[in-house]
Amino acid sequence: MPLTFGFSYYLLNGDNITAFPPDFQMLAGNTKRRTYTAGDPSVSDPEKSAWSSLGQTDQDSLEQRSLGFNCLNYGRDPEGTLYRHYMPDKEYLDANCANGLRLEIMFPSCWDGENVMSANHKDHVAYPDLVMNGNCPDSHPIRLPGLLYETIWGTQNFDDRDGMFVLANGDPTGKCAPDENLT
Amino acid sequence: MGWETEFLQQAVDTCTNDSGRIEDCAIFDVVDEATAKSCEFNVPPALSGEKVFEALNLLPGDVEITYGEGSDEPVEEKPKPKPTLSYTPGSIPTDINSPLPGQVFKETSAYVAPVPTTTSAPVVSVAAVPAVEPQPAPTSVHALEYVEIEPNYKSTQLVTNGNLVSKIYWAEETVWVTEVLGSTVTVEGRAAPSADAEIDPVVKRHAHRHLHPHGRRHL
Repeated sequence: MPLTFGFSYYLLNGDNITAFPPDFQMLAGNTKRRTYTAGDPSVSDPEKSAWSSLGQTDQDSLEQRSLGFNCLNYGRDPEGTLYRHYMPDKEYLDANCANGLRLEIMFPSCWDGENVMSANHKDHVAYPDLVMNGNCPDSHPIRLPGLLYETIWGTQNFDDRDGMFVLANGDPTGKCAPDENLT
Repeated sequence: MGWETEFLQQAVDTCTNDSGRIEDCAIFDVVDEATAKSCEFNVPPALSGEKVFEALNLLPGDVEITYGEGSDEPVEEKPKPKPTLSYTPGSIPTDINSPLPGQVFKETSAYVAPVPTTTSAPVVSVAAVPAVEPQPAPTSVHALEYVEIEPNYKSTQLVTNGNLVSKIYWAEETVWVTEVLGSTVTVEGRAAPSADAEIDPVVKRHAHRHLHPHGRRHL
């Protein structure tokens, strides 16, 4: 399916934002994940003030909430960014998303300040406790620009055919995320 | 590859204009849209041989569909039906420059998106533009790209929703003729803007809004 549109945002939240150092690389997401375990995926995220008491500010939960699948329908007010954390099935897309599907991924924006890379490509960075903003963990105190990627896919162009959408790495659920390297 | 660190740091530190417009940030020297459209992406050899335009038994690159958590092995039967999270309009953030998950930091419903292209744009295309007018399909990865708005619009419209102001460029005007009870009433309406006009304000606005040193704001 052709990529309709793509955007990268550099969100500057927090103080003393440091630019990515030379040779810096990082990865967001987990290509093998197929389930959402950071809460009930059929309802929206709980109130943010409750995330901490619900134990949902660990990096694994934050990573799962860094993915969004936005059902695009320009005839109504838009859904929020990072609202739905899995890919809707084709039936839902055909019925509701007249203008396609927007994949959103937020990269970690807290850095340990030392390592430009790590063995699993992720441990040297961390999410702040509200995914896009909030407090960095003590282990990763340096704030980086917050990178948000959006890609829009013309799923509505296939509503007259049967089938199933699958991400290019074999994921039919959308629970993984693209590998990205930044240098 | 990627940003020069000093330059990006300079951008983070100096693009302080509250207008959010990238042209108010002197260090950027952005190309015009025509130049941007002429850029080509050299498809890496690892990808150039992939079949993407024909019926395949596996995903390109001989990738299997995998349903199992943490697994590389395909599972025979399909998994349970997916959860359904139905529509809720996103809330508007109190600080539009610091959105949080579930909030909308794009335009309001007045946003008119670019018309998706169904021509033969390759999957890995970055800026290869089909010859069909007017449907550019710019993608922007690893760098902000500012696209100059072409002066081919008929009128502009400002839509305000809370503290979010959207500027819409209308490329065409359409006159609608409505027949009411045997008499003819002419109502002036507007057609959807062209893809050029649709894309540009989006690119322009978002290139602006998010290059703010929010660290400097005192909340």
